[in-house]
Amino acid sequence: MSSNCFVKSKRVSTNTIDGFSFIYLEDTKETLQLDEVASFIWNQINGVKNVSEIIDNCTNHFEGDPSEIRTSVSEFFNTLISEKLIKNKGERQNDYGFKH
Amino acid sequence: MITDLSIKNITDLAKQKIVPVSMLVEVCHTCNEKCIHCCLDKHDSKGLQLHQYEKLFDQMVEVGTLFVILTGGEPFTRPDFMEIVKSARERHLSVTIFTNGILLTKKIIQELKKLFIQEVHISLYSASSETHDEITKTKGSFKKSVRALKWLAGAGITTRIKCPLMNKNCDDVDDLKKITKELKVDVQFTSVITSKNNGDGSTQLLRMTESQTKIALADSKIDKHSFAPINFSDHPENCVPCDVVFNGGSIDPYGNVFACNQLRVCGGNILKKPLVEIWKNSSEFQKIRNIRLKDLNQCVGCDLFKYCVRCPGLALLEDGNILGCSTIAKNNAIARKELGVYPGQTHIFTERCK
Repeated sequence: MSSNCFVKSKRVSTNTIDGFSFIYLEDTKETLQLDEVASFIWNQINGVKNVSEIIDNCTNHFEGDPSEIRTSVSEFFNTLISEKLIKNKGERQNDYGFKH
Repeated sequence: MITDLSIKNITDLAKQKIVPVSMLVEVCHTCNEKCIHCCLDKHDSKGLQLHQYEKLFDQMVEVGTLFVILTGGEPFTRPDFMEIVKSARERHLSVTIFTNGILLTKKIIQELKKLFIQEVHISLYSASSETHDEITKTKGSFKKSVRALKWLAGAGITTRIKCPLMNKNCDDVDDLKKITKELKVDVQFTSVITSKNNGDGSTQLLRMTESQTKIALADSKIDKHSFAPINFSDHPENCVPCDVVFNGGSIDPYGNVFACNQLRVCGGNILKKPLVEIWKNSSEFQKIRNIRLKDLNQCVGCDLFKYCVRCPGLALLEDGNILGCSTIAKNNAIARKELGVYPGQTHIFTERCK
């Protein structure tokens, strides 16, 4: 997964207020808030940076064991994928996924 | 890392941090109806160009906006309106559209569905085609608006009817409620017909009579009720009379940024200054943000206060003083007092601790 590049799903509306990202899911009308670390990651999912680059940015930005950070970020990406909040940029985007 | 919350949590945080989380954008003033109660005094502006809206949406993302209402005039009179919607959605802004639905087609609705827009609100003034078309001054408009409602609901897009009540249509409330059930859409009634934006009060003649107003305000579907009065008058130094320019504002088709589409105090123009600069540095907006309940001399101590839903925009537009009494709010408060019902619109007076 580390070389994969992701985009936010089309069903997602989002912005960041005071360092915390908020997500409104247009199809289910659910509202989510990300914590500071998750928001940092979320804001880098732009269809340009791959997962490996985002992990590097996290290990540089946050204190802690780099291998633990790597595991946490990977788990977070898996959650985002399973919740259909992001999509691999390389896949067809007929259902969801804008260019960033 | 992820927490569930409500939209109100976001708007409350935005108010606390002074972030325009919700913005209303009038993309044109052109319209294909001629509604007798319209608040616009002229309908000539075709709006900004697409690339200017793209730039505006970039600035909205930067300043913290999440929810955008796109309206007009009638927004679909713009041939490029769907491009504007797409542009907002590409930036992951949540889009709600206010329209009369006349120009909607099944193809457009499918595109809206694919773009995951939040909601469409359709103006429908009666369950009777005759009354509706008399209000819109457009023959056949009822049929087309209802057709759009059916298509939207059928496509699974969250759809609401917007119905301002006036003396011509207030007897149709029950029939309209029946239509909403049949169509499986929601309805939002409003009980105040406002003056035109230039202060022309001719539309006030369309307002419900005193007895009609009482019937309307007794209906909790039209006027949300509270079981107990909202009482902030114990600490008027902290109480903000309205949320405007704390967590939202509006932009007209010329690019002027207003405190609200009802409170026409302009903070600047996006063609001259970035939105973020207008939002943060406008002295006009700052003056409004500094208003507290204690500044509303006629409200503090008024025995109608707990029954009143005062709009500062209407107080300024119709009574000439943003800090003064709003006659229409006062009249409705008198009606509520006689009915013994308290208003449920808590956003009008909210506490702001410093």
